[in-house]
Amino acid sequence: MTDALRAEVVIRRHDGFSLDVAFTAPSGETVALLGPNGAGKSTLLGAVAGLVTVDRGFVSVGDRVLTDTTNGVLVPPERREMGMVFQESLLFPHLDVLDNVAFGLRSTGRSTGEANGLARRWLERLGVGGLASRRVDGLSGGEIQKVALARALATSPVVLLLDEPVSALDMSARLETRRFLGDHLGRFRGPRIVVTHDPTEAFVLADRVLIIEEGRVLQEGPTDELFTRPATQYVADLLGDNRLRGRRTDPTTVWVGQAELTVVEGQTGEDVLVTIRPEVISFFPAQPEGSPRNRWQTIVTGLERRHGVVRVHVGDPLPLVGEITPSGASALGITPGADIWVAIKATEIDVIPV
Amino acid sequence: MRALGCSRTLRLFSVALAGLLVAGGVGCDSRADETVLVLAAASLTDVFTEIGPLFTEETGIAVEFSFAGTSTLREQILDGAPADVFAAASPEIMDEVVGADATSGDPTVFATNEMAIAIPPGNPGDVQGIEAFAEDDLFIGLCAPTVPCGSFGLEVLQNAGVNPAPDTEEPDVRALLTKIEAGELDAGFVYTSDLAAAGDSVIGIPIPSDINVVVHYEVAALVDAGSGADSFISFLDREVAVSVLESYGFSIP
Amino acid sequence: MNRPVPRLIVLLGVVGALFVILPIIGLVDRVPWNRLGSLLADPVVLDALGLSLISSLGATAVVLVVGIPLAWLLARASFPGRGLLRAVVTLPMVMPPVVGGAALLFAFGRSGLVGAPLDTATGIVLPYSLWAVVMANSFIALPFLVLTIEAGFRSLDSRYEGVAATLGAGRWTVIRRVTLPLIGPSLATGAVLAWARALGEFGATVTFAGNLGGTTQTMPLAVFVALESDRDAAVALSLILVVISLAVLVLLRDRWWGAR
Repeated sequence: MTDALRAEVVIRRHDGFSLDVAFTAPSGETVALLGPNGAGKSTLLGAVAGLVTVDRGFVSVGDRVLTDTTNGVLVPPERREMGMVFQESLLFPHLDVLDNVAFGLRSTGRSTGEANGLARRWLERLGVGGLASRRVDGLSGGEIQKVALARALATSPVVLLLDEPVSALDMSARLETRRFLGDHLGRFRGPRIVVTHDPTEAFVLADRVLIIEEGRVLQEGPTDELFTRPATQYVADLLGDNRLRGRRTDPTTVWVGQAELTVVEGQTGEDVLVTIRPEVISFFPAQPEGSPRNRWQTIVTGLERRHGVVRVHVGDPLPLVGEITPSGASALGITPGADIWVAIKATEIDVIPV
Repeated sequence: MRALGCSRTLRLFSVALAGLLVAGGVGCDSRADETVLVLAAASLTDVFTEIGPLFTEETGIAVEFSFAGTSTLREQILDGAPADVFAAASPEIMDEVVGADATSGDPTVFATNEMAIAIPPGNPGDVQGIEAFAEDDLFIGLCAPTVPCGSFGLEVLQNAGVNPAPDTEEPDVRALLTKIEAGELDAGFVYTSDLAAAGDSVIGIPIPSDINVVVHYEVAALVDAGSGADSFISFLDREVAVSVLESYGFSIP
Repeated sequence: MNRPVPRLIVLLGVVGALFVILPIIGLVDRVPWNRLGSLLADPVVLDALGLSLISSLGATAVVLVVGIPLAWLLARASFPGRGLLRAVVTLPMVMPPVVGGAALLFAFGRSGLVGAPLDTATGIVLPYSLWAVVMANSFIALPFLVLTIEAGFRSLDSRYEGVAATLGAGRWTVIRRVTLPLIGPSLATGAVLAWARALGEFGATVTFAGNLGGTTQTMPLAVFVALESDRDAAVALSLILVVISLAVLVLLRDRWWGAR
């Protein structure tokens, strides 16, 4: 399967909201549609799935045209072969877990026995085979999303669509489910689209990111590039600062590029997402004394004043953005090109396994 | 109850209630006001509604009517409905009420009525006489045998030696007349007074007197009736009331 | 946390319950128990009972078949005059049943708007038949079903149907396997309300279908006619109607909603 998803969607609603987005999702890649609530992301996903009527648009997977308003093509959702997972479970409450997963198989004409057998295998493949005979209302949030993914995958879709798949979960379930999704998205060979309002989720799950705001694409690109080089301040604010991929080489050490960070203890050998909020970075004119475990000398690469603070960009070995007060900045004599020491407490660095 | 006053509305309401509630007699003292409450057979609806204002004009006594099937009224009276006068379309039912000691005076016949065949304008069933009641193809309506117009109708049929093939047995004569007027029935038995009241909307075919039934309308004051009760009963014999009764197709004995 | 129920709520609730229970006790109190057996064996009563069951169940089937699609349209389709249509569909609930029966007569009677051409074309006359009883019952019962099911459709998250579609289910499969099961409780409630209303229907039935033992005389009509001559019999017949309704409502409630 090497078929890319192509979508151009124009929707105008009576309330004045309009959506006008075009994107391509290559096979084997995960594209995140990232933006605040109300940006039109879920509507876009619905339009791709054929659940939302478009005013003008074109949707295709490989050579197969699914929507083409110019030529009057509109394939109904049940023949689009798209697997979908929603934020809230939306597992059918009147069916048990196995019947939920078997639903699509039975709807497309398989016998009950065959459908149940396949459904059971999918549940086992996703590590939730033990839930088969459970009622939906007794499942945890994480279990629900695993079953929902099994249900979507069981029909062998050509595209996977996930709408805020972990947003409704609590913190610990979110972490685990996100990792689970990451694993299984990686094994799915078609294009996969994840709608999210959470930059962390986009960062962890996606190969490419589309930033969507008020129905328009603000920026688009490979995840790492987008996070390191936001095109506008708005995008930068949306993404947040200092989000970095790393790897834990021993319980309290994480390497990010050529930089070594001392962090709170965790599991050795895992890939992690490191987030350092700008206000926790301290600047010193010379090597600081005392407790901070992470300190190094670097160079100021840029300065900007915003919202009453000075944002200080520093360069290698670890490009970061910090924030200090204007008086602090002048006292330290911070100017572009100046040498400076940076210090960060280990407890101030967020490390999330991915 | 007395503290609330014995308004006419209240008394009418309690009559209606008496038909529904198992406990009868809402305890309104009928002597305490000047309204005569008359329970009257449904077939008297039009004529009494016209006589009422004449009575009030003549005597200064207000009058209220509650019309229903005679047997329904009997139930209400036996349940203790606080009324003054009972005007019945059936002497048998009046006898039952008398037998239950619910009247204060002897019943008197104030009018008679006869049965007639009613057909819709245009006579869609081509009904010529009482024989039509035996025809299966026609839509024939009777009153239910438990109400007077039903039992009288059956009596007429029996006198004529006709075995009826009814399509419906209506709960009262008004319902039957309505269906005939609407053209939903080809023929049915109603009172001659109903024909007079219905005007052009139905056509009447007289029944020969040798097989017809004469219906005696009786009136009596009820126990605990106010003084107005006797005034009303005697008013029914007055010339002004008699002419109204006659104009509605009733005969005067 | 089991907080005590406020006394005012208990008081008013008890008043509400008694308001219903006391008349029923009054009815039971008047039942001529020694005659009950012979009344129940009376062919007129058996006929009326049979007709009542057939016509009320028939009416329930009719209103399910046309009421579910109607509720669907009212809940989900958008078309001009939808609010007006909903109000009109509700009318049989608020109009006196006798008026409803007369309206049916004017439409479907022998000389009615539809009835007259029907008679001319086919010779079929609806009044005075079991069909007319079912129609009268359906007319009165329909709004109970439609309003209940419309509320069910409205409270249903339509994304369930969207998910089902993405899983490959066609429209009818979605309706059969997702929509209807999800509004199951509303369906059951609506059907039971409609059935109960049909079982007790008097005014529209007697006006449109007439009253003839063995053909159109249902239990409420038999009760009314009996009331004219033999009140003991009327009370006994009413008791039968009450017992049947109560039995069905209690049994179905346990089965469909689970005894809680």
